[in-house]
Formats: sequence, structure tokens, C-alpha cells
Amino acid sequence: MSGLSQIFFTTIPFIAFIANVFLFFTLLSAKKEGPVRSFMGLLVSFILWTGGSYFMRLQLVPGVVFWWKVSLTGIFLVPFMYYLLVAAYMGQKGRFLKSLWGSITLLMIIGNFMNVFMTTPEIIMSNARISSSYDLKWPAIIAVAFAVMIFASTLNTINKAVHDDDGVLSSMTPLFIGVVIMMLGIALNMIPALTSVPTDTLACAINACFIYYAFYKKRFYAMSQITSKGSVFIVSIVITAFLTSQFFDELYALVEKLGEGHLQNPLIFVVVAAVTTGILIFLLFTHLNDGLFVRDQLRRDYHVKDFSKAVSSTLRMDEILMLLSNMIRDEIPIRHMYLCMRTDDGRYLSAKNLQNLDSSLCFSADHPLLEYIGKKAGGFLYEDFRHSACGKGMFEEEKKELENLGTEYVLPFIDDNKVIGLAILPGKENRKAYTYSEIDYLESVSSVASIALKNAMLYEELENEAQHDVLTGLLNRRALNKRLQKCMDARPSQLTLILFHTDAVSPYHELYRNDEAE
Amino acid sequence: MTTQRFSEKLKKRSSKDIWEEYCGFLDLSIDDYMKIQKRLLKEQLENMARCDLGKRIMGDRIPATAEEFRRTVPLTTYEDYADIILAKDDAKLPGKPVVWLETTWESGSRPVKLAPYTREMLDVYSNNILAAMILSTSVRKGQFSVRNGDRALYGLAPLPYATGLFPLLIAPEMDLRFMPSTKEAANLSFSQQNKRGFSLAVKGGLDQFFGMSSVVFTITRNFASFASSGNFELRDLAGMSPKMLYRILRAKYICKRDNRPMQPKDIFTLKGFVCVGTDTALFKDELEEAWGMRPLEIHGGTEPACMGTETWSRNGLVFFPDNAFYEFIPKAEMLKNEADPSYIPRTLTMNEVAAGEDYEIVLTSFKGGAFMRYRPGDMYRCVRVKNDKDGLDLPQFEYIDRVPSVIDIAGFTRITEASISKVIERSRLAVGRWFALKEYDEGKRSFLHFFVEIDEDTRESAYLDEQVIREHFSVYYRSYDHDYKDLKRLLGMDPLSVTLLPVGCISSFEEQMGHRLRSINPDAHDMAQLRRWLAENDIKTGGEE
Repeated sequence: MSGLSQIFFTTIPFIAFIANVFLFFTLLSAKKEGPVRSFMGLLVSFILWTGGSYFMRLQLVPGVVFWWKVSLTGIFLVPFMYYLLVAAYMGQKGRFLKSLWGSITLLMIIGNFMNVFMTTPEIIMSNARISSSYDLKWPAIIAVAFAVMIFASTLNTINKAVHDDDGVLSSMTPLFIGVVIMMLGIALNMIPALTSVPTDTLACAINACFIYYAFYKKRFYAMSQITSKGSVFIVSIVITAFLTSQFFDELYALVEKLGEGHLQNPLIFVVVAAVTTGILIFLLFTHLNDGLFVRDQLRRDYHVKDFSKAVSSTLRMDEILMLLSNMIRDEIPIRHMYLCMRTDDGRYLSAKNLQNLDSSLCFSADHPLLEYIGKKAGGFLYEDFRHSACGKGMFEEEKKELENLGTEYVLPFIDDNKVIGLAILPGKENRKAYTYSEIDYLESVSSVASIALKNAMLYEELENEAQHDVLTGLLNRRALNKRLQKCMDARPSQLTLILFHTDAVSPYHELYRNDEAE
Repeated sequence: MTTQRFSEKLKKRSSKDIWEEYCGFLDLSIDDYMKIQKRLLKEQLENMARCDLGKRIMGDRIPATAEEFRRTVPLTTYEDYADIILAKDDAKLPGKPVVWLETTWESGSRPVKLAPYTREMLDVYSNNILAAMILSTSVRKGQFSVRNGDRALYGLAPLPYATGLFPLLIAPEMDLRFMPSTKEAANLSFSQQNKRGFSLAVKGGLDQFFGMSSVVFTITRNFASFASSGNFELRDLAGMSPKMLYRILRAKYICKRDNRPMQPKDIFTLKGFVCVGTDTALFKDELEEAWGMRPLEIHGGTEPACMGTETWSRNGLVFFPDNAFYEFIPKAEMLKNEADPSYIPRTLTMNEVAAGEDYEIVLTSFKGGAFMRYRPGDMYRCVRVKNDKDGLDLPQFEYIDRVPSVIDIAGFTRITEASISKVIERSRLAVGRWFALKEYDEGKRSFLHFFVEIDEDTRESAYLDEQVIREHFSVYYRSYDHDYKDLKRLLGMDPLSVTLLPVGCISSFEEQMGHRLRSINPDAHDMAQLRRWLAENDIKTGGEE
């Protein structure tokens, strides 16, 4: 066996195994909805398949035959797990077929361990390569037939879903590509020239990655959710263990050589070297992970914290709105946005002079958008609203106005179930859709801003009350003094004040009561 | 923002999203439904206030609320709009029309009514038709089966009739294979279009069928003769898909074996079936039996546009909230108004109707349409105010008929007292008193039953029997009313039956009853009394020995 083949022989199953284990662990931190759970089940079957294959090559205890059977168990599980995955992905209910295929798969696995389908494999070792020799028994046809039936059932499920909903097809493209690659890998493995390259296990891992991508695309989880420190730590341990097992002898010899026979226990140094390697790998992976996935998330988190700090230090509405506008536009490539705040008469008016916008935006109290906000938990795409039953109530002018602004996302600011304001965000300058993380960011900003805006509104209300007479609504003495002071501060050398005195106000009050007098 | 075509949505969006977009109105609560109604009414009132037509109807003051609108704006009929609309005077309308639809007014001297449609109205129309199409393929909430490339047959009257908009509005939205194509249909008569469409369906298969119920019914009846014609010529086989050939041969074998006539369902498997027209309810059971699928009934018309659709349960119409502002005149109020035109009938809104009651509908168009508190002359029965089984919080209706003063035959004609009087006058028949009513034959086909007294003092009276009067009257009516003529041409029917009454019979009966008989569609109770009275007094009608 050539050196290259040797590398393929052990490295590829290892990479495939690691890839599947990694994907499995990252999913542990994701929200375990039906499809994610079934994907984890499929990954377990892939792990058994690739892991069994790898451990068989490593000749680990309890023995090559055991791992060979574990690998076959994984393969037996694949059709059923695929069926479960597709059924969950399509949202299909019903238990009959699941129970039927599950029971059959269980019988197949038991049969596998009892050598019903093939003779116990004879292990042949040549040039450090392990291969097996076995004879198929006639019941193997039944096993294959059942596997084909389960796959056919899976295809039928897909066909039914596509029949009802053409849109399913585009979201399933990565799944289809993955399956094609897996089949191709299995087929290539049957070509005699390629038997030294375990293409089946490699294809299995690639397939897992495609499924992973399909799930990510369907927003079953966010990337930041799954690239946790825990998953990085697990991967580091697995890689360190692999390297140590692969290079243990060389490392031991090196330590002995460097110690020139003076070291009483070279093993301790080997262990220290392995742990150090593990730590370095962990640090390296953490750095890479932060750079690839978490950095943006962290930066946004810091941004939100800074924003929170900044808005909590002011009670002025215009300042908060300016901070909010800058905050959103710093992170999301949009040219402009409208921030509309509730007025006393229930309308929502865009803040003036915020971005020197030419036009202003006003939502009447009965605007259907406000009703839609009441029905949603947070922000939403404008198109979703436009196509909802609520959206039918829009005036043509209102539709044109929002469409002319290029409205793409609506971010409400809600406090105590009341909409205190809303941000109208246009499409991004790069013409791409709003991403999961951007929407997540906007939601965080909205939560912080809602509190700040509510406080600012309360403050403005109190300030307004403190400076106006309750009965007449006119400015009171306190407001007068404040404004006089302001005038004096502005022009201390020139100030003229004319006072008018009205006679007999007090008797008038007494005679005609306050309401009439005021 | 670019608007996605429906066909793109089918490819790229989930069925749940599509259902919510088009059929989401079925999830509205009645309060939310009324919010949409009142809001769009507000928009329309502002449109109306800006134009001459609106000022003429509303005066200078714009009603601030729907309640004020109902209190202050008068109910209208087509006569209130005729001078502006028939002259196509765009400048006086609340919106710029892009299409003018046409329908029968009262035939003869007032042959057509026109209705202007703005771009925005067509958008709503298109959306609502797509909703109906989705619902026509559904058997439960949220499930449907509409696909690009579906083969669609349409037995719908072409433009300028309202149904002519169906294929024209669907074609830009999705890639249905209309049979014949809308381009080809433009050069065919309605009758040729139906024949060509059916021939294409037989050759290549059929997924969806939209049609006027009377036309669909005729096609269904004629199917038996197609099926029994037996031998196919080689020319018929040209272009026929193997699948259809197999289905036809299989159907022939099965029907021969079972000794039963072949039905459309033996060769077609419909995914969607939509029927439009005033007689739909009568034909539904038979159509379901023949096609293997219950038709989904939709209602509307030239002035009301696409107004309502049945749901997946196909047991009651739900009105689209964004098509028009709906008001309902209770039947008793309508009759009171008919007897005394100065009486202003009370109206109810969608949230005020009661189950089991009959109503005349009153419409105010949205989106720049011309009609305001308009009485199109249609009667509906509220079958239920909510449907717990289907999870609907909205009232559902069934179409009853035109208002009693109008006789509609097969959805093609509008026969009134004025038009009959005009035909009698033109025919110079020596007719004394008369009345007419709509009745149905054993085949559930509607016909005009004309009860007539002949003036015995005239010279011709001796020659006039029911047959002569029927032929005479039919000839003159066909020359006077083109829609009536179309009934014969398109549906092969002459829907007239004549009963001769002795002179003075009607007056005597009225004397005994103490009130006059209505000339058009007398009350059912009055008719029963009349028949009994004729029998009791041994009065022979013309057809009796």
C-alpha cells in the first residue's frame, strides 16, 4: 500500500468521524425542535458508521469484528433515520409508518449482530491495513429490500410534500445534493481501484455537512448558537486524543532521546506535551471560531451595551432617537430610516431633523400596521404584513408611501403591550435580505430603546405638566421664570419685560367659579 | 419593491405562506373584518368627495364614520350613475378606469350597464380570484394543490363581461395552460371557445375548470352525446395524449361493462372546479355527481366585482373584505320599499346580519370604484353568522336570486316589467292583464312562465292559443333582447312557457285577495292561492281541456 493510500485509509474515516461528532455536539446547544432531534438521530447513525469504521482500522478493543458490526449498525440505521428526518422536516404527522420502519430496522440490527445476513467476517491484515472477508447469506436480500422500501417511503413523503407545496423543493436542494454525494461515495467504494480510499465514510461526512447547511438555511438554529466554547473544547479534546494516539511512540522516543537516559519517567513529559498541545489547539480553535462566527456577535453585543449606557444617561427624546438612529445605521447598511413616535392624539409621527430627511412619515391611529404590530411579538418584514389579512386595510396612498421608501423591515418599540414608536427600515444598500443575526440585533436594540423611549416620554409628560396650568393649559409662572432666565442668559444686556395687570380677577373667580373665570 | 408573480410564489414560498396571503382573510374575526371594511370605506369616501359623481350622491359633506355614511347617503340604483358612466366620463369618476365591464341592464331600450374598474380594483379582483382558485383545490383548511402548468378549461363569457376578466387576470400571475389560450379565444365566439376548450381537454387532460354554472351544466349534459358518439376518427386521435387515450378507452370499457352512461369524471380528474352564476346552487349536486368534485361557488358581477367565495367545505359564501363595503336590506324592508318607493329601508352591516334571514345586498365599491350604496338587485340568505366547524368567525351566505322585480334566466338575462311591456307593445298581441314568474323544469333549468289574458273583443283572439302566443312572444323577445337570444344560441334553450287565463281572471282573484298581484314574480303564497282559486272555481286555463 502506498503512503498516500495509507493516509487515506485511516485519516478519511477519522475526519468523517470527527466531522459527525462535531456536528452532533454543536447541535446539543441548539433548540431541540422535531427536525433538529431527528437530525441528531441521523448523525448518531453516521457516527456509528464512520466511528465503527475508524475504530476497526485502529483495532481498538473489544475487537475488529465488534467495530465492524457497529459500523454496519450505523449503515442499517441510515434509511430509517433519513425517513424520520424527512418526515420531521416536512412537518408530517402520523405514527404508523414510523413505528413500522422503526421495528423493521430494529430487527435488522439484531439480525446483524446475530450474523443472519452474512457470515462472521474474517479479518485479514496486510501491510497494516485491515480488510474483511465474509459471505452474504440469502436473508441479506430481505435487508436490502427493506432498506429500499424505507428509502422509497422517504421519497414518497418528499413527493407528497412537493405535490402540496412547490416551495419545499428549493429548501430541500442541499438535502438532495447531500444524498447524491453519499450515494456516489458508496458507489465509488465498490470500484476495485478505489477500495483503499473509504469514499463511503467521506461522502457520509460531506452529506452531514449539507444537511447541516439545509437546517441552518431553514433557521432551525443560528450559527452563533452552535459555535459555543463547549463545542470547540470537545473538538480540541478529540483532535488531541487522535494526535496523541497516532504519534505516541514517536513522541515517547523523542522525550527519551532529549532526556539522554536521565529521565526517570518520560511518560509524564509525554502527557504534559499532549495536554499542552490540547490547550494550544483549544486556543487556536477559539481564536478561529471568534474570528469566524462570534466576533460579529460580540461586537454587536458591545454595541448594544454601549447604546444601553448612552441612552440611560439622558431623558431627552431627540437625543435618544439620534443615538438609536446612529446605532442601527452603524450595523445595518441602510441609507436612512424613519423613527416614528406616538403623539398625544394616537398618531405616530417621524422625528424631525433626525437625518435631514426631506419627507416625514405619519401613521394614523387606525393604521393596520399598528394593529399588525399588536399581533406580532417583535419586528417583522414589511412584505409579511403587506400580504397579511391586516394589510388589506391599507389605503393605496399608504401603500405607495411605504413602498416608495423601500420599506423592508418594521421594528416596533413596545412597552407594557403599548406601541410607543416604530422604526421603518428600508432595504439594505447591498440589496441583500436582512439576516438572522441582524434581526436578532435589531430586537436587542428595540428592547433597550423601548425602555429609554418610555422614560423619555414620561419625562416630557412630567415636564409639560410642571410648566402648564391645569385649567387653562397655558404656561405657568415656573415656565415663565425658566424662559426669562433663558432669555437673560442669551442676551444679558438687552431685555425688556412688559407686565399686564388685570383688575378684579379674584371677585370674578368667586362669582363665576374657576372654570368660567379661566 | 418588486411584486412577485403568483407562479414565483408557488415555487419559492411555502404553501402556508401562500395560504395566509390569499386565504388569510378567512381567519379574521368579525371585528377585524369590520375594521378593514370601515377603513377602506373611509378611503373610498375621500376618493368620492373629490369627484363630481361623489359630490352628486353625497353632497358636500364627507361622512366621518360608517354610521354617518349609512344615515346620510341615499341608496342608489344604476339610474343614478347612468349619465356619467354610460358616457364614460372619466373626469367625473373617483378613480381612473383602466377597464370598462359591461352587462345587461334591462335589455331593449336600456340594453347595457357599464362599470369602470381602476388598476387598484383589478389588483384586488386578481387577488380574490386567486384565493378562489386556491380554495377550489382545497378539501381542508391550509391544504391546496395549484401548480404552474395546470390545464384549465374556462366556460366563461368573454370581455366585456365580468367573467372575461378571470383568464386575463390569472394569465399574468401564473402559467396556467388555458384551453384555448386567451389569445386564441379572442378570435373565437363564446360557443366556439367552449367547444375548442373541451376538445383540447379531451386530448390533453384537464386539471381546473372555471365556468358559468349554466354553461358548465350544458357541457356536462352534452358530454353524454360526446361519449355515446362512439367511434373516434383518426383526426380525433391526432395530438391526443396517451394518458387521455387510455382513460377514454378504460372509461368506455367500464361504462359498457356497468351499463351506464359515461360521465366527465370517468376521464377527467379535476383538481379545482369553480362555478359562477346565479343558478349555481341548483346544479351543484348534479355537477358533483358528474365531475367527481363539488364545484366551488363564487359570486360577483359587473358592478360588485368578485364578491365572495365558498371555502374548502363548499357550504356558504364568505365575502372578501377588501372588495366593497357591504350592507344588507332585510327582506321585509325591501318589500316595504318596493310597495312604497318613498320608504327608506334600513340596512345592516356584516356584523349585524342574522342567520336564516334573507337580504338584498347594497354595495359601496372600494379603490376608486364608482358605486356607492348601490343596489345591484341580488338577494342573499345568511346561512350562519359563524362556522365553528371550519373555524370561521364570519357570516356565510347563499345566493337566492335576483330581487323579485327581476327575472334572471341562467345568469344571462334580466327580464323586468318594463321589458315585457315593451315586447307586448311591439308584438301588438291583444294582451290584457298579465304577470310573469321564474320557474324551474324537471331538469332544474329555469324558464319564464308568462300568465296572460287575451282580450276577447279583438279579431285575433280566436286564433291565439298558448302555442301561438309563445312563438310570437319568443320571436319578439329575441329581437328586442340580445341576451335572451343568446340563451337559445349558447345554451340551446327557449325558456318560455305561456299559460292563457280567461279574461278578468286576474282582477277577480285580486278582488278576492284584497291586493294586487305583482306583475313580476308574484309572491309564492299568492301563486299557491291563485292555483287553488282556479281549481275551486273550475276555471280552465288555456292549456287545459
